[in-house]
Amino acid sequence: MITDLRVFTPEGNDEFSRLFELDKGAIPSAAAELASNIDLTETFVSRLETPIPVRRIDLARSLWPYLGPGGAHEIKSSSPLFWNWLAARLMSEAISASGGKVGAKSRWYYTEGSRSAYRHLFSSAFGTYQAHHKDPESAMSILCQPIGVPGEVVEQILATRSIAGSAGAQLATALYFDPSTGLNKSGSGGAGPGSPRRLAAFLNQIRLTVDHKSMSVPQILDLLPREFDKFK
Amino acid sequence: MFDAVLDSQNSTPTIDITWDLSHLSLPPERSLFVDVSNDRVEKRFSLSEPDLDIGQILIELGPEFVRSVARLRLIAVIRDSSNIPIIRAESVTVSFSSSGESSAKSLLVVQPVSDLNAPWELSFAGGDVILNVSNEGGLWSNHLRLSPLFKVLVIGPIVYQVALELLTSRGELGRGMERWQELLVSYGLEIEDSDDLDIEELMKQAHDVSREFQASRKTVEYLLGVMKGVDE
Repeated sequence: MITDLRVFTPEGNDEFSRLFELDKGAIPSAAAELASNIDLTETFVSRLETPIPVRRIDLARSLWPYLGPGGAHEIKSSSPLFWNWLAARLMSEAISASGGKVGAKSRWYYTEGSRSAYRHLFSSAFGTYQAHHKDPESAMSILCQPIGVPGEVVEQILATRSIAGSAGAQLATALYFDPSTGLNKSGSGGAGPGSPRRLAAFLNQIRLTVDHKSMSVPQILDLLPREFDKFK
Repeated sequence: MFDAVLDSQNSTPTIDITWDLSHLSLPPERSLFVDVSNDRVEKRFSLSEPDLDIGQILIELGPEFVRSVARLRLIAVIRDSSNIPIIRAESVTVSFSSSGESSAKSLLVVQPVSDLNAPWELSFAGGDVILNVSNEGGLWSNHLRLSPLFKVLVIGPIVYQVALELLTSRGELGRGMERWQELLVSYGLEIEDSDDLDIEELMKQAHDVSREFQASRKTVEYLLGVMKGVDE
Protein backbone atom coordinates (compact mmCIF):
# COMPACT_ATOMS: atom_id res chain seq x y z
CA MET A 1 0.00 0.00 0.00
CA ILE A 2 1.24 3.49 -0.86
CA THR A 3 0.28 5.77 2.01
CA ASP A 4 1.87 9.01 0.88
CA LEU A 5 3.68 10.72 -1.97
CA ARG A 6 6.96 12.43 -1.32
CA VAL A 7 9.89 14.08 -3.01
CA PHE A 8 13.49 13.61 -2.09
CA THR A 9 15.33 16.57 -0.73
CA PRO A 10 18.36 17.35 -2.91
CA GLU A 11 20.47 15.54 -0.30
CA GLY A 12 18.12 12.55 -0.43
CA ASN A 13 18.34 12.52 -4.19
CA ASP A 14 22.13 12.49 -4.06
CA GLU A 15 22.00 9.70 -1.51
CA PHE A 16 19.74 7.69 -3.82
CA SER A 17 22.17 8.19 -6.70
CA ARG A 18 25.01 6.89 -4.54
CA LEU A 19 23.08 3.71 -3.67
CA PHE A 20 23.92 2.35 -7.09
CA GLU A 21 27.55 2.09 -6.08
CA LEU A 22 26.51 -0.60 -3.58
CA ASP A 23 26.35 -4.30 -4.23
CA LYS A 24 23.18 -4.72 -6.34
CA GLY A 25 21.61 -7.08 -3.85
CA ALA A 26 21.78 -4.45 -1.14
CA ILE A 27 20.16 -1.67 -3.15
CA PRO A 28 16.40 -2.45 -2.79
CA SER A 29 16.37 -2.55 0.99
CA ALA A 30 18.58 0.56 1.21
CA ALA A 31 16.25 2.32 -1.25
CA ALA A 32 13.18 1.43 0.81
CA GLU A 33 14.85 2.76 3.93
CA LEU A 34 15.83 5.96 2.16
CA ALA A 35 12.31 6.47 0.77
CA SER A 36 10.89 6.52 4.29
CA ASN A 37 13.60 8.74 5.79
CA ILE A 38 11.78 11.83 7.04
CA ASP A 39 14.97 13.89 7.01
CA LEU A 40 15.68 13.23 3.34
CA THR A 41 12.11 13.36 1.98
CA GLU A 42 9.20 15.80 2.03
CA THR A 43 5.61 14.56 1.96
CA PHE A 44 3.20 16.39 -0.35
CA VAL A 45 0.23 13.98 -0.32
CA SER A 46 -0.61 11.98 2.80
CA ARG A 47 -3.29 9.62 4.11
CA LEU A 48 -3.39 7.61 0.88
CA GLU A 49 -4.52 4.01 0.64
CA THR A 50 -3.33 3.27 -2.86
CA PRO A 51 -2.63 -0.37 -3.71
CA ILE A 52 0.84 -1.09 -5.07
CA PRO A 53 0.40 -0.76 -8.85
CA VAL A 54 0.91 -3.91 -10.86
CA ARG A 55 1.03 -2.65 -14.43
CA ARG A 56 2.45 0.53 -15.91
CA ILE A 57 -1.04 1.84 -16.59
CA ASP A 58 -2.09 1.20 -12.98
CA LEU A 59 0.83 3.29 -11.80
CA ALA A 60 -0.04 6.17 -14.14
CA ARG A 61 -3.72 6.09 -13.25
CA SER A 62 -3.02 6.15 -9.53
CA LEU A 63 -0.78 9.23 -9.91
CA TRP A 64 -2.95 11.05 -12.43
CA PRO A 65 -5.29 12.80 -9.95
CA TYR A 66 -2.30 14.42 -8.26
CA LEU A 67 0.17 14.96 -11.10
CA GLY A 68 -2.10 15.27 -14.14
CA PRO A 69 -3.22 18.56 -15.70
CA GLY A 70 -4.88 20.74 -13.12
CA GLY A 71 -3.80 18.44 -10.31
CA ALA A 72 -2.55 20.16 -7.18
CA HIS A 73 0.93 18.80 -7.72
CA GLU A 74 1.20 18.86 -11.50
CA ILE A 75 4.60 20.50 -11.31
CA LYS A 76 5.97 17.39 -9.59
CA SER A 77 5.37 15.38 -12.76
CA SER A 78 8.58 16.77 -14.19
CA SER A 79 10.62 16.66 -11.01
CA PRO A 80 13.47 14.15 -10.69
CA LEU A 81 13.08 14.52 -6.92
CA PHE A 82 9.65 12.91 -7.16
CA TRP A 83 10.43 10.19 -9.71
CA ASN A 84 13.55 9.13 -7.85
CA TRP A 85 11.68 8.98 -4.56
CA LEU A 86 8.96 6.86 -6.20
CA ALA A 87 11.59 4.57 -7.66
CA ALA A 88 13.15 4.12 -4.24
CA ARG A 89 9.71 3.53 -2.69
CA LEU A 90 8.61 0.92 -5.25
CA MET A 91 11.91 -0.73 -6.14
CA SER A 92 11.45 -3.77 -3.92
CA GLU A 93 7.87 -4.37 -5.06
CA ALA A 94 8.73 -3.89 -8.73
CA ILE A 95 11.59 -6.34 -8.51
CA SER A 96 9.86 -8.99 -6.43
CA ALA A 97 6.71 -8.94 -8.57
CA SER A 98 8.72 -9.55 -11.72
CA GLY A 99 11.36 -11.83 -10.29
CA GLY A 100 13.83 -9.50 -11.89
CA LYS A 101 17.03 -7.70 -10.91
CA VAL A 102 17.93 -4.12 -10.18
CA GLY A 103 19.62 -3.75 -13.58
CA ALA A 104 20.83 -0.44 -14.96
CA LYS A 105 20.74 2.69 -12.82
CA SER A 106 18.80 4.53 -15.54
CA ARG A 107 15.79 2.28 -14.81
CA TRP A 108 15.52 3.87 -11.37
CA TYR A 109 17.44 7.10 -11.33
CA TYR A 110 15.90 9.85 -13.43
CA THR A 111 18.26 12.47 -14.78
CA GLU A 112 16.52 15.39 -16.39
CA GLY A 113 17.56 15.90 -19.97
CA SER A 114 19.41 12.62 -20.20
CA ARG A 115 18.95 10.64 -23.39
CA SER A 116 18.22 7.57 -21.29
CA ALA A 117 15.45 9.30 -19.30
CA TYR A 118 12.88 7.20 -21.16
CA ARG A 119 14.27 4.13 -19.42
CA HIS A 120 13.04 5.29 -16.02
CA LEU A 121 10.43 2.68 -15.12
CA PHE A 122 7.96 5.04 -13.48
CA SER A 123 8.49 8.36 -15.20
CA SER A 124 8.20 6.72 -18.61
CA ALA A 125 4.92 5.02 -17.70
CA PHE A 126 3.42 8.28 -16.50
CA GLY A 127 4.81 10.20 -19.48
CA THR A 128 3.24 7.72 -21.87
CA TYR A 129 -0.10 7.98 -20.10
CA GLN A 130 0.21 11.76 -20.10
CA ALA A 131 0.81 11.84 -23.85
CA HIS A 132 -2.21 9.62 -24.48
CA HIS A 133 -4.45 10.52 -21.55
CA LYS A 134 -7.43 11.25 -23.78
CA ASP A 135 -7.31 7.68 -25.03
CA PRO A 136 -4.93 5.58 -22.93
CA GLU A 137 -6.23 2.39 -24.54
CA SER A 138 -4.47 3.50 -27.73
CA ALA A 139 -1.10 3.22 -25.96
CA MET A 140 -1.68 -0.08 -24.18
CA SER A 141 1.20 -1.74 -26.01
CA ILE A 142 3.55 0.30 -23.82
CA LEU A 143 1.34 0.54 -20.74
CA CYS A 144 0.24 -3.07 -20.24
CA GLN A 145 3.50 -4.40 -18.79
CA PRO A 146 4.36 -5.04 -15.13
CA ILE A 147 6.00 -1.95 -13.67
CA GLY A 148 9.36 -3.69 -13.31
CA VAL A 149 9.47 -5.34 -16.73
CA PRO A 150 8.83 -2.86 -19.53
CA GLY A 151 10.16 -5.15 -22.25
CA GLU A 152 11.10 -4.75 -25.88
CA VAL A 153 8.06 -2.84 -27.16
CA VAL A 154 8.54 -0.12 -24.54
CA GLU A 155 12.27 0.05 -25.13
CA GLN A 156 11.99 0.39 -28.89
CA ILE A 157 9.06 2.78 -29.04
CA LEU A 158 10.13 5.10 -26.23
CA ALA A 159 13.75 5.28 -27.36
CA THR A 160 12.81 7.79 -30.05
CA ARG A 161 11.00 10.71 -28.48
CA SER A 162 9.47 11.89 -31.71
CA ILE A 163 7.58 8.65 -32.22
CA ALA A 164 6.84 7.84 -28.57
CA GLY A 165 4.37 10.63 -27.98
CA SER A 166 2.32 10.12 -31.10
CA ALA A 167 1.96 7.54 -33.78
CA GLY A 168 4.55 5.12 -32.45
CA ALA A 169 2.63 4.07 -29.36
CA GLN A 170 -0.69 3.92 -31.18
CA LEU A 171 0.76 1.99 -34.08
CA ALA A 172 2.49 -0.45 -31.75
CA THR A 173 -0.81 -0.97 -29.95
CA ALA A 174 -2.64 -1.62 -33.21
CA LEU A 175 0.00 -4.17 -34.18
CA TYR A 176 1.14 -5.86 -31.01
CA PHE A 177 -1.48 -5.46 -28.30
CA ASP A 178 -4.15 -8.11 -27.86
CA PRO A 179 -7.17 -6.58 -26.06
CA SER A 180 -8.58 -10.03 -25.33
CA THR A 181 -5.63 -10.93 -23.11
CA GLY A 182 -4.55 -7.46 -22.04
CA LEU A 183 -1.02 -8.37 -23.12
CA ASN A 184 1.20 -7.88 -26.12
CA LYS A 185 1.04 -10.69 -28.66
CA SER A 186 3.47 -13.54 -28.63
CA GLY A 187 6.43 -12.76 -30.88
CA SER A 188 6.29 -9.02 -30.33
CA GLY A 189 9.38 -9.17 -28.12
CA GLY A 190 11.72 -10.31 -30.86
CA ALA A 191 14.07 -8.37 -33.11
CA GLY A 192 13.24 -9.91 -36.48
CA PRO A 193 10.86 -8.93 -39.28
CA GLY A 194 7.77 -7.15 -38.02
CA SER A 195 9.28 -6.59 -34.57
CA PRO A 196 9.05 -3.36 -32.54
CA ARG A 197 12.68 -2.71 -33.37
CA ARG A 198 11.85 -2.84 -37.07
CA LEU A 199 8.78 -0.66 -36.51
CA ALA A 200 10.87 2.01 -34.77
CA ALA A 201 13.43 1.81 -37.57
CA PHE A 202 10.70 2.20 -40.18
CA LEU A 203 9.14 5.20 -38.45
CA ASN A 204 12.53 6.79 -37.97
CA GLN A 205 13.20 6.33 -41.65
CA ILE A 206 9.96 7.77 -43.00
CA ARG A 207 9.81 10.66 -40.54
CA LEU A 208 12.48 12.42 -42.55
CA THR A 209 9.99 12.91 -45.37
CA VAL A 210 6.55 11.88 -44.11
CA ASP A 211 4.84 13.75 -41.28
CA HIS A 212 3.35 10.71 -39.56
CA LYS A 213 1.99 12.88 -36.79
CA SER A 214 -0.51 14.23 -39.30
CA MET A 215 -1.66 10.72 -40.19
CA SER A 216 -4.18 8.38 -38.64
CA VAL A 217 -3.08 4.94 -37.48
CA PRO A 218 -4.94 3.16 -40.32
CA GLN A 219 -3.16 5.43 -42.81
CA ILE A 220 0.24 4.49 -41.40
CA LEU A 221 -0.69 0.82 -41.23
CA ASP A 222 -1.28 1.00 -44.97
CA LEU A 223 2.25 2.28 -45.46
CA LEU A 224 3.93 -0.48 -43.46
CA PRO A 225 6.00 -3.05 -45.33
CA ARG A 226 4.61 -6.57 -45.62
CA GLU A 227 6.83 -7.88 -42.84
CA PHE A 228 4.30 -6.40 -40.37
CA ASP A 229 1.33 -8.24 -41.87
CA LYS A 230 1.59 -11.10 -39.39
CA PHE A 231 0.75 -8.71 -36.56
CA LYS A 232 -2.11 -6.89 -38.29
CA MET B 1 15.03 31.79 -41.47
CA PHE B 2 13.67 30.49 -38.19
CA ASP B 3 14.30 31.65 -34.66
CA ALA B 4 12.82 30.94 -31.26
CA VAL B 5 13.20 32.65 -27.91
CA LEU B 6 12.11 30.91 -24.73
CA ASP B 7 10.83 32.79 -21.69
CA SER B 8 10.68 30.32 -18.82
CA GLN B 9 10.62 32.83 -15.97
CA ASN B 10 6.87 32.50 -15.39
CA SER B 11 4.72 29.54 -14.33
CA THR B 12 3.58 29.30 -17.95
CA PRO B 13 6.63 29.41 -20.20
CA THR B 14 6.27 30.98 -23.62
CA ILE B 15 8.13 30.65 -26.87
CA ASP B 16 8.33 33.56 -29.29
CA ILE B 17 8.80 32.17 -32.78
CA THR B 18 9.65 34.08 -35.92
CA TRP B 19 10.00 32.65 -39.39
CA ASP B 20 10.69 33.71 -42.94
CA LEU B 21 9.99 31.00 -45.49
CA SER B 22 9.75 33.31 -48.50
CA HIS B 23 12.85 31.86 -50.15
CA LEU B 24 11.39 28.31 -50.13
CA SER B 25 8.56 28.95 -52.63
CA LEU B 26 6.16 26.81 -50.63
CA PRO B 27 2.72 26.17 -52.11
CA PRO B 28 -0.09 28.08 -50.34
CA GLU B 29 -1.93 24.93 -49.28
CA ARG B 30 0.73 23.91 -46.77
CA SER B 31 0.37 23.43 -43.02
CA LEU B 32 2.89 24.77 -40.55
CA PHE B 33 3.54 23.00 -37.27
CA VAL B 34 5.83 23.61 -34.33
CA ASP B 35 6.86 20.47 -32.43
CA VAL B 36 8.07 21.18 -28.90
CA SER B 37 9.48 18.47 -26.68
CA ASN B 38 11.49 17.77 -23.59
CA ASP B 39 12.66 14.42 -22.30
CA ARG B 40 9.15 13.45 -21.21
CA VAL B 41 6.58 15.38 -23.20
CA GLU B 42 6.04 16.29 -26.81
CA LYS B 43 3.47 18.79 -28.05
CA ARG B 44 2.51 19.98 -31.49
CA PHE B 45 1.17 23.44 -32.23
CA SER B 46 -0.48 24.38 -35.52
CA LEU B 47 0.34 27.86 -36.67
CA SER B 48 -2.90 29.69 -37.21
CA GLU B 49 -1.86 31.53 -40.36
CA PRO B 50 0.13 28.95 -42.28
CA ASP B 51 -0.18 30.87 -45.52
CA LEU B 52 2.09 33.60 -44.18
CA ASP B 53 5.62 33.26 -45.50
CA ILE B 54 6.86 35.67 -42.88
CA GLY B 55 5.37 35.59 -39.42
CA GLN B 56 5.71 35.66 -35.70
CA ILE B 57 3.76 33.89 -32.96
CA LEU B 58 3.88 33.65 -29.19
CA ILE B 59 3.06 30.16 -27.96
CA GLU B 60 2.12 29.41 -24.36
CA LEU B 61 3.45 26.07 -23.19
CA GLY B 62 1.98 24.01 -20.37
CA PRO B 63 3.40 23.60 -16.86
CA GLU B 64 5.08 20.40 -17.98
CA PHE B 65 7.60 22.63 -19.74
CA VAL B 66 8.39 24.77 -16.70
CA ARG B 67 11.49 22.86 -15.80
CA SER B 68 12.81 22.13 -19.23
CA VAL B 69 12.13 22.76 -22.87
CA ALA B 70 14.57 20.60 -24.66
CA ARG B 71 13.98 21.44 -28.28
CA LEU B 72 11.63 22.58 -30.98
CA ARG B 73 11.39 22.60 -34.74
CA LEU B 74 9.14 24.15 -37.36
CA ILE B 75 7.91 22.04 -40.26
CA ALA B 76 5.96 22.84 -43.38
CA VAL B 77 3.75 19.99 -44.58
CA ILE B 78 1.98 19.50 -47.89
CA ARG B 79 -0.27 16.65 -49.01
CA ASP B 80 0.65 14.57 -52.02
CA SER B 81 -1.89 13.14 -54.47
CA SER B 82 -2.50 10.19 -52.12
CA ASN B 83 -3.15 12.57 -49.23
CA ILE B 84 0.11 11.54 -47.54
CA PRO B 85 1.51 14.46 -45.51
CA ILE B 86 4.96 15.19 -46.88
CA ILE B 87 7.48 17.32 -44.99
CA ARG B 88 8.28 20.00 -47.53
CA ALA B 89 10.62 21.97 -45.27
CA GLU B 90 12.02 21.55 -41.80
CA SER B 91 13.85 24.06 -39.68
CA VAL B 92 16.96 23.30 -37.74
CA THR B 93 16.08 21.98 -34.31
CA VAL B 94 16.56 24.66 -31.67
CA SER B 95 17.55 23.41 -28.23
CA PHE B 96 17.33 25.20 -24.92
CA SER B 97 19.12 24.69 -21.68
CA SER B 98 17.03 24.45 -18.48
CA SER B 99 17.73 28.13 -17.88
CA GLY B 100 16.12 28.98 -21.21
CA GLU B 101 19.32 29.72 -23.05
CA SER B 102 19.16 28.75 -26.70
CA SER B 103 21.79 26.28 -27.66
CA ALA B 104 21.05 26.12 -31.35
CA LYS B 105 24.42 25.32 -32.81
CA SER B 106 26.26 23.33 -35.36
CA LEU B 107 27.16 19.72 -34.73
CA LEU B 108 30.78 20.65 -34.49
CA VAL B 109 32.04 23.77 -32.75
CA VAL B 110 35.40 24.82 -34.20
CA GLN B 111 37.55 26.59 -31.64
CA PRO B 112 40.95 28.03 -32.60
CA VAL B 113 43.48 27.67 -29.79
CA SER B 114 46.63 29.75 -29.92
CA ASP B 115 48.84 27.46 -27.84
CA LEU B 116 47.74 24.01 -29.02
CA ASN B 117 50.85 22.13 -30.09
CA ALA B 118 49.00 19.50 -32.10
CA PRO B 119 47.12 20.30 -35.34
CA TRP B 120 43.79 19.51 -33.72
CA GLU B 121 42.09 17.62 -30.93
CA LEU B 122 38.52 16.88 -30.00
CA SER B 123 36.84 17.61 -26.68
CA PHE B 124 33.34 17.19 -25.26
CA ALA B 125 31.65 19.74 -23.02
CA GLY B 126 28.00 19.97 -22.02
CA GLY B 127 26.75 18.32 -25.18
CA ASP B 128 29.08 20.28 -27.47
CA VAL B 129 31.56 18.49 -29.65
CA ILE B 130 34.46 20.91 -29.87
CA LEU B 131 37.14 20.72 -32.51
CA ASN B 132 40.08 22.55 -31.02
CA VAL B 133 42.42 23.57 -33.84
CA SER B 134 45.86 24.99 -33.43
CA ASN B 135 46.15 28.62 -34.36
CA GLU B 136 49.78 28.82 -33.44
CA GLY B 137 51.45 31.18 -35.93
CA GLY B 138 48.06 31.69 -37.60
CA LEU B 139 47.89 28.02 -38.61
CA TRP B 140 44.09 27.87 -38.48
CA SER B 141 43.07 31.36 -39.51
CA ASN B 142 45.60 31.67 -42.35
CA HIS B 143 45.91 28.12 -43.61
CA LEU B 144 43.73 25.28 -42.30
CA ARG B 145 40.49 27.27 -42.35
CA LEU B 146 40.94 27.88 -46.06
CA SER B 147 42.06 24.38 -46.93
CA PRO B 148 39.51 22.20 -48.73
CA LEU B 149 41.38 19.15 -47.43
CA PHE B 150 41.37 19.80 -43.71
CA LYS B 151 37.82 18.93 -42.71
CA VAL B 152 37.54 15.97 -45.03
CA LEU B 153 40.74 14.52 -43.58
CA VAL B 154 39.72 14.93 -39.97
CA ILE B 155 36.03 14.00 -40.21
CA GLY B 156 36.66 10.25 -40.03
CA PRO B 157 38.58 10.37 -36.74
CA ILE B 158 36.04 12.87 -35.40
CA VAL B 159 33.11 10.57 -36.17
CA TYR B 160 35.03 7.68 -34.62
CA GLN B 161 35.62 9.60 -31.38
CA VAL B 162 32.04 10.86 -31.20
CA ALA B 163 30.62 7.38 -31.83
CA LEU B 164 32.85 5.88 -29.17
CA GLU B 165 31.88 8.62 -26.71
CA LEU B 166 28.19 7.94 -27.36
CA LEU B 167 28.64 4.19 -27.01
CA THR B 168 30.62 4.34 -23.78
CA SER B 169 28.69 7.13 -22.04
CA ARG B 170 25.24 5.68 -22.80
CA GLY B 171 23.02 8.69 -22.32
CA GLU B 172 24.93 10.50 -19.65
CA LEU B 173 26.16 13.20 -22.01
CA GLY B 174 24.56 16.61 -22.52
CA ARG B 175 21.59 17.22 -24.75
CA GLY B 176 23.56 18.45 -27.70
CA MET B 177 24.83 14.94 -28.36
CA GLU B 178 21.32 13.82 -29.36
CA ARG B 179 21.80 15.24 -32.83
CA TRP B 180 25.00 13.31 -33.27
CA GLN B 181 23.25 10.18 -32.10
CA GLU B 182 20.38 10.70 -34.53
CA LEU B 183 22.87 11.29 -37.32
CA LEU B 184 25.02 8.25 -36.63
CA VAL B 185 22.20 5.77 -36.09
CA SER B 186 21.78 5.60 -39.84
CA TYR B 187 25.44 4.59 -40.13
CA GLY B 188 25.12 1.67 -37.73
CA LEU B 189 25.39 3.17 -34.26
CA GLU B 190 23.44 0.98 -31.81
CA ILE B 191 23.51 2.55 -28.39
CA GLU B 192 20.81 0.26 -26.99
CA ASP B 193 22.99 -2.82 -27.19
CA SER B 194 26.23 -1.24 -26.05
CA ASP B 195 25.79 -2.35 -22.43
CA ASP B 196 26.46 -5.90 -23.51
CA LEU B 197 29.66 -5.14 -25.44
CA ASP B 198 33.23 -4.85 -24.24
CA ILE B 199 35.44 -1.90 -25.17
CA GLU B 200 37.05 -3.66 -28.12
CA GLU B 201 33.65 -4.37 -29.63
CA LEU B 202 32.60 -0.75 -29.03
CA MET B 203 35.77 0.47 -30.73
CA LYS B 204 35.05 -1.83 -33.65
CA GLN B 205 31.53 -0.46 -33.94
CA ALA B 206 32.78 3.14 -33.75
CA HIS B 207 35.32 2.32 -36.46
CA ASP B 208 32.62 0.83 -38.69
CA VAL B 209 30.33 3.82 -38.15
CA SER B 210 33.16 6.18 -39.11
CA ARG B 211 34.00 4.15 -42.20
CA GLU B 212 30.34 4.01 -43.28
CA PHE B 213 29.94 7.75 -42.69
CA GLN B 214 32.97 8.55 -44.84
CA ALA B 215 31.84 6.17 -47.55
CA SER B 216 28.39 7.76 -47.72
CA ARG B 217 29.91 11.23 -47.84
CA LYS B 218 32.20 10.10 -50.68
CA THR B 219 35.24 11.57 -48.97
CA VAL B 220 37.68 9.66 -51.16
CA GLU B 221 35.97 10.86 -54.33
CA TYR B 222 36.02 14.40 -52.95
CA LEU B 223 39.73 14.14 -52.19
CA LEU B 224 40.43 12.81 -55.69
CA GLY B 225 38.50 15.74 -57.14
CA VAL B 226 40.51 18.22 -55.10
CA MET B 227 43.79 16.55 -56.08
CA LYS B 228 42.88 16.60 -59.75
CA GLY B 229 42.20 20.30 -59.40
CA VAL B 230 45.63 20.75 -57.83
CA ASP B 231 47.29 18.74 -60.61
CA GLU B 232 45.61 20.77 -63.32
